[in-house]
Amino acid sequence: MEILVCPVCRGDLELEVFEENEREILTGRLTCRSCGEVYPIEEGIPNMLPPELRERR
Amino acid sequence: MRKRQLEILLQRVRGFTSPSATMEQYMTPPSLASDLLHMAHMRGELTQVLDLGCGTGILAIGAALMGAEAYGVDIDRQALRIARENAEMLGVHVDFVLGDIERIAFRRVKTIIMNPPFGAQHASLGDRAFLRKAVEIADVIYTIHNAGSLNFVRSFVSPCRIEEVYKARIPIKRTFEFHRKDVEWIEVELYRIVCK
Repeated sequence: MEILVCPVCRGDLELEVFEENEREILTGRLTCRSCGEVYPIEEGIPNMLPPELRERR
Repeated sequence: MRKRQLEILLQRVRGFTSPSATMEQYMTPPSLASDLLHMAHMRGELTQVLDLGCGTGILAIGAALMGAEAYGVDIDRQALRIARENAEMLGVHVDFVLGDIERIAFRRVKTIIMNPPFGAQHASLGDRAFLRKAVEIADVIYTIHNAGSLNFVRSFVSPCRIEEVYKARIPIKRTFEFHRKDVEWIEVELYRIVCK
């Protein structure tokens, strides 16, 4: 996910992995190094919706 | 991979289970998807690829089958779940991301491939938000629109330039109540837009 940046401030994102398999990250989170906003990774899919749109869909 | 082989593989891609009419969700037909991907591949523009509004992933997965580093973004989590299964079934890796086209941000990418909603339905975002995002981040864009969109798209993406136009007819199966026929053929145009 090298091409992603923070949707709020365009800052770089730091990846934390909670769960992964041989091929990919399944659960984790991306944290913005500039503004601190946190984006969850669930079922292998980073959720980059802005905080106010993020209710689980 | 030859175009016909790619098309046959892409025929295995699953579409939407419960398509949303307001989001104009329908899958890009495998024939048109393979035409688009082949065109980009021939020009050496299928190396790093982002699919905006990827739905169940056919364009991004096709790009990965052609050897690209491929990404797909969509606002529909259920579609992305199917997209991941499709990629796995075809043995390729694509990074899929949940995001809102008007709010998501990316670094610069080489190529965007997309079949955005045409804006035929009132509540749809239409193609403007997709074109706006595409010209902001890509060197080259392959994008599918309603026939007759050329003048609008040309002025909307300026100073990026439409360098090629490819016309096609695609069958849209009866998906929504307001579709009157079982299969409706619609005229579409594929544009290659250059921004660098």
